[in-house]
Amino acid sequence: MSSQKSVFGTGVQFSGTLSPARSIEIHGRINADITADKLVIGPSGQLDGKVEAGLGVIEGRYNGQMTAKSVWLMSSARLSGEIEYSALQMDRGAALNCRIKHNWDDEDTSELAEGQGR
Amino acid sequence: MFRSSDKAQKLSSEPACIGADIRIVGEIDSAQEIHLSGEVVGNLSSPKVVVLTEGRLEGNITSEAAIIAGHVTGDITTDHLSITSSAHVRGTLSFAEIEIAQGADVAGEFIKTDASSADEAAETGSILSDSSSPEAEAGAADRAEQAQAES
Repeated sequence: MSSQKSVFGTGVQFSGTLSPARSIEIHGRINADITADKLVIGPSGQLDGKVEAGLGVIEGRYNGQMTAKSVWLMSSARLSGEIEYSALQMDRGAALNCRIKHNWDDEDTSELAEGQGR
Repeated sequence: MFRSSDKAQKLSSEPACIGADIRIVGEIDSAQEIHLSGEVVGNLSSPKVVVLTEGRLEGNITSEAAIIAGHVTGDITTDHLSITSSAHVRGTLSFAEIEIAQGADVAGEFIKTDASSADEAAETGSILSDSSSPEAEAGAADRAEQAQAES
């Protein structure tokens, strides 16, 4: 009955370090570096810290340096810092105030994309 | 999966669940209850703290209610303390009400406080105890059912 998912609820405040985990969901205010397969920042969530994730779903506020294969920014997302991604999806209304960088190395189609760019 | 269980949903919309695969170093301050099945090094502060069988805590608990089924090394300050048979607890326990199941591995200082002032610790005398403490057995039986219903 053990849960493989960690959830930080609305009223949670935490700052410290977290070990790599499978799935982390944030609805409170967290100040930590996170490595996870899946990271969700809920509408009321606020995260400060470096993130390395397979999938990052952001509905709340994020500040820091994020590296994720797949990034999904919902309409209520507010971001600052730096995002490095391979695939990005963004809903209308999402607010970015950050550096966004595509991770060429992760992409098989990098040559193709570069060729089209010129 | 605790989040989807009826218990979690009923008691609070968004409890903090520390999953079994994670280790956390730092202080957690929660307005909702905390369910711990992973490992935490640091203090927990929450209305209700539940340390599940696979949960490990190295740090203090400050709460209104605490249910311990896993490993805790640190001081527990709470009004209602419930320790199940699978628990390993070391530290100073401050409580208004306590319940210890048979088989629990508990050692440390026991401090009885008034329900309202659980954080004002040093009040009454203390006893060194293991699970066979007379105090533990006294109130355990009648509250056992109550706790069972809760969980």
